[in-house]
Amino acid sequence: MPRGLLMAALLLGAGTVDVAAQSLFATRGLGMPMAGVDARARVLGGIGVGLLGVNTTLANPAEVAGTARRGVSAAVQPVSGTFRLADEESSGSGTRFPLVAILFPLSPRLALSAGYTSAFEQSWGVIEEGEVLLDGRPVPTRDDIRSEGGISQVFVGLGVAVTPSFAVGAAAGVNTGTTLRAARRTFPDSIDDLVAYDREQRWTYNGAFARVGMRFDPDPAVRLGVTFEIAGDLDVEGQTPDAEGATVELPMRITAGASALLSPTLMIAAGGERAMSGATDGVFSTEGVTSFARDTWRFGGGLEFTGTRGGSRVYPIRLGGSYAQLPYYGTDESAASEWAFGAGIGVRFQPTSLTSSAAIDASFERGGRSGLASPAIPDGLSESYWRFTFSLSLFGR
Amino acid sequence: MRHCRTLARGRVAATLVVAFALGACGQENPTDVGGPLLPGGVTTFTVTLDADRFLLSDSAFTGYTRPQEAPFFVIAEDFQGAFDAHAVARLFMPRTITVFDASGLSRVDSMPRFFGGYLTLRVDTLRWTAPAQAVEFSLYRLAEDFDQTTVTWTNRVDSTGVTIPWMEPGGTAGVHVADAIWDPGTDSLVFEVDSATVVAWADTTMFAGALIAMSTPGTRFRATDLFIELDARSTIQPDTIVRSVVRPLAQAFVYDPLLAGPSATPRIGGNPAWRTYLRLVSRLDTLTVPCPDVPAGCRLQLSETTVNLANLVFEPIAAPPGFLPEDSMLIGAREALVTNNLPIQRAPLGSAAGLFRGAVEPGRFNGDDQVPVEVSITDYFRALVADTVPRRPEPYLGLVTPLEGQHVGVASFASMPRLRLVITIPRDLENR
Repeated sequence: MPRGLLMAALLLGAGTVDVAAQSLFATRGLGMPMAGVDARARVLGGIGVGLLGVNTTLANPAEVAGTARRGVSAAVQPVSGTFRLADEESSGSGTRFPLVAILFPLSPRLALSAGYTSAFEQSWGVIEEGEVLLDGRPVPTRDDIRSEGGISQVFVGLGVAVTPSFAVGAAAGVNTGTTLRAARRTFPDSIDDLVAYDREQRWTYNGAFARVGMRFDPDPAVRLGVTFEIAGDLDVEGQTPDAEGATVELPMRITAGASALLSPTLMIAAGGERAMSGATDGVFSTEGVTSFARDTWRFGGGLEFTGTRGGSRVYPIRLGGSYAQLPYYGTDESAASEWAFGAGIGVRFQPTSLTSSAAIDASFERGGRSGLASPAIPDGLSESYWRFTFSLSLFGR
Repeated sequence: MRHCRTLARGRVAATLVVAFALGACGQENPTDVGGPLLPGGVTTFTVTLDADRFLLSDSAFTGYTRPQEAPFFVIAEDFQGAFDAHAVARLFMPRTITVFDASGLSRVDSMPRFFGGYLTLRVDTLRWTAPAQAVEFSLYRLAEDFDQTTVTWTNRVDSTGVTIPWMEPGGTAGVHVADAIWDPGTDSLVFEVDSATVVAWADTTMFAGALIAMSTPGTRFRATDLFIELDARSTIQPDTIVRSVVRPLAQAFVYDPLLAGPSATPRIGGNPAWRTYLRLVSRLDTLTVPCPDVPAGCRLQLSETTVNLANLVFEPIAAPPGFLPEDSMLIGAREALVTNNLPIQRAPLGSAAGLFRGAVEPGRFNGDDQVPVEVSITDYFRALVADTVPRRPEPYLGLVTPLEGQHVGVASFASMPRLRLVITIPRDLENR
């Protein structure tokens, strides 16, 4: 493996803890559900299961079976969005790292995998300017409320190719993470020199999960994949005196995907996911705030054209789209959903049907989210965003 | 060769990706919509506490500066019907002058004949009070010497163990030298000094001193400088007159009455300077305030809140007659480092308890001002609220003006100030 590329991949992975993307929909429940996929899977619908070719997304532990080379993959995802709420509009931006994956074949039929993927995102920030009446005199205020962190999955998996066309796999790991919520009120232009209000609350998350999956290739040009994920209770533990803890049931997921070659250079992929919230009576409470959780659907699909080649390299071109229901919403609020369409490109170095020496993929998507309408905010919240995803995969011998 | 190129390009691509990623890390921007979506939030409100909730006592002490060290003179006559002040100076007459002879050489003349001069007083044109437009000052020869560091209205020497009174309180006036009229708009007051006075002052067998008083009642002036210009005729060049400028060897101002301490009501300023010491209750963290916007009965401990502002609220009262501050006065509070082994009035003052706010105008102390004066103690109060261990002795505050000794007048307040707090709490605290 080229050492420079390996260093780059490690650098990508090193940042996963510190930074994250932003959506105001992440203010509800455990935050925004995130797909821990690479740039290729992202533009092909975001499901990441049942994809032909080199698939470094570890959504299906069975799909690593048959991997011929050791490899490492990481993705980075800058997002820039516009938020609309009650006739007001603003913009924000951020970056997250949805995926770090390691593939380690033990034999031609057996491969280990380990990964770190985003599960729920809780990074957002709001600045609100207003005023308070102090002794009958209006005093301007500026509230800066920020949340950083979220929940990630850290896991190891094993894939076994029972036959060349059929593989099974299992993975187990933990849902873990930290959220820091900071609220600061300052009093700009105050003649009284008012000292700022600061409050910090921190929670940590800890819970186990397991995932099983299968891959079936009924034909060399067709692949089917299915995974089933179940999670134990998530312990939400307050780390500051006023951070209230909770025990939360995480959703159970069934994910299925398929892809097929329409021609030697054109692939179609599609998939879907059903997530059962697991929240008792649909009520989800944590961090002192009550949210409702619902069962959700997620769908996506796309096309990949690999006819553009140069020497030993292939330059895939991709198109795709996705739709997802968001699970969390507040009291008296409507549920929210998300859509995205995008395109992507990539470079495959020395590709074969099972691997390549390196892969660089990029995708850009235009998407939107809407929901959380309530009597107080009849039109709810809507967001439109540009989401870029870059991923880098490196393979050794 | 192709493989090497591939690797090189891979490194370039990887570097670009990493650079992009790291660059993107710094762009985590908040949005300015979304406030209504957020749960909880905070509320900010004010509470005013009476003195008995947080204060055990207050008392004022004086003697922290000496008027003799002030960089100004005060001269007053029956100001506010009660205050008199004189300037006194010990003079030094030159023995020689320097002239140029017919050949243009510089020569020292040791036998000059002084025949007259002027005594000039630089008036502080911003700090005066007078009922009339024209104010009359009088210059006298001072008949008795004085000790510059201890002189008072009644004593020309008042050091430890030695007290020598003036024959005439306020400085023993000798021969009247001259009068001068001060008109608003001029910054100098000039007395013409006759030759007899100059000769008398030059007589080394006699004390040479000057006393300046006022003749116009109800007035108070401040002066910043005093000097004498002397005219002498040379014995070397008889047609040459030389003007020499001399400054006093010692100068001071004395006034009556002297405010005696301690005072039961807070005082700040003055010269000798006044300080007010406030003894606060211990464990301010346990102090409770009513919850805002909820029915009565809900109370919050200060330790659960964020104190954004803590201001002592003083009611200004009339200054003692004659001691209306000459100018606006900065008033602030400092931590007083009181121990059990030291009298309170000798406790050193520590760091500022809060920001020194705008200066308080002198007119606030004429007795008819109803607007309170607020003194910030926010920093110190927040530290006390964060302190969960009882303090022994109780915490003290010293109320001072940052430049002590710059006023003769004193800022005076009614006893037992109130405390105005601005507090912010998370809303979920109200709903416990």
